[in-house]
Amino acid sequence: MGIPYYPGCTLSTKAQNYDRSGRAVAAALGIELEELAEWQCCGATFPLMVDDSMALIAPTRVLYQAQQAGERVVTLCAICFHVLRRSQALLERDPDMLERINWFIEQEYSGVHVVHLLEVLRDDVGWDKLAEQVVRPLTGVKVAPYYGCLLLRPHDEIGLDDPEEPTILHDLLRALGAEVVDFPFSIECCGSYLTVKEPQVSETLSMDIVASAREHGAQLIATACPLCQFNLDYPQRETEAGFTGNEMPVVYFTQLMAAALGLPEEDWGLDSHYVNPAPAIEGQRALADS
Amino acid sequence: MKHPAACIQCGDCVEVCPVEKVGGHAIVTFLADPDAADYSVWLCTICWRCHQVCPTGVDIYGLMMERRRHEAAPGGYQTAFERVLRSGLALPISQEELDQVRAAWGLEPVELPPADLVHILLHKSPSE
Repeated sequence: MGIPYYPGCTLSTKAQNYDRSGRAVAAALGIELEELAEWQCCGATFPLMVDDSMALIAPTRVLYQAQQAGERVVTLCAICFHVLRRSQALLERDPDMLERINWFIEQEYSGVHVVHLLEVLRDDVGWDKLAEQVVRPLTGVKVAPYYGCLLLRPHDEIGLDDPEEPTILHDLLRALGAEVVDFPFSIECCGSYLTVKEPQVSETLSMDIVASAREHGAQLIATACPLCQFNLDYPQRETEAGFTGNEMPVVYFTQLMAAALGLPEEDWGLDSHYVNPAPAIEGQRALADS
Repeated sequence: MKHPAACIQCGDCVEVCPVEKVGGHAIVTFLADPDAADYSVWLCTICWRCHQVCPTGVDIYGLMMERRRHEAAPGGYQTAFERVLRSGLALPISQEELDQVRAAWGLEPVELPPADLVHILLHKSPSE
């Protein structure tokens, strides 16, 4: 089955490993992600003001490009997903705005459904089917599922999962054979864009999340958001004093899928992390194998 | 937009706010006295948890964004605007650094717009 795919800017630059592992696992499950023929930035922030129609132009262009390709469009980046899904919802309930934006971009956007790859895995593939495809289960690997904000809230427009007690990443990790570590910070904010202007604030928030995962016995944190991945990973980078030995690797869920589905290691994309996740994944599996 | 008068002061929003957690006073300051908003409104990470947990449905996020509209942007934003005016870029990065970063990610060198591009866009009419 082929689905139009919108990678977005971050997955083409800083998070190429998310893109690579995402495409590889989708292909392994028989889902062909067909990159949109032409696309540009989604705008990266959903319009913050009630009447800010200018900020809707970029996402609407993306939605229009997706509409040319099919009835739905799949994303991996939690930020693109958030912006596009909410733009879709806004244009559905506000015909005047739709007309205004269409007039400006000189296109006839009428509607397309934005989905996250996690939803495709849950609704099209199913967790049982996914579990059947696992050839090298993540037995004994203790993973903390970290959702962050943009994948879940505001629930009335996003509606991907329960906004306070989500399970979609939990279910995925269980299907891969991993040991899911429930921890109280799984839906807390990492500080998001404050990493640019107020890095000490986002670092404090992010390291609270990492500390909580560690206290609950996790060896890895799994996320679906490139900004969360950066915010949680970067403050743990190697300094002149070296690593502390207490680091917690932060991976994309697609990277764990690639490992569990037995795909070649170049598809895992573990080479561009500040804290190398490979020992946590392989060391534990080696123990399980022996 | 649900008015802040609907606030029953249950404190759920405070409990979940990441800004409160690091010592800011985003929501409390705001609901107690909308005129007393300080730099904290610029710390909102737009995580939507207050919106999600509010039992009476006060649109705290909407209020926060409305407040930003009326506040002078913090110095950092002003600096960024000035940089855009000067170089066309919001972040201080040279052509050399930019190309190094791009090369590390396997991308071609980029051709930056002329430094006076913003002035041209702002000050020249189409006929010039």
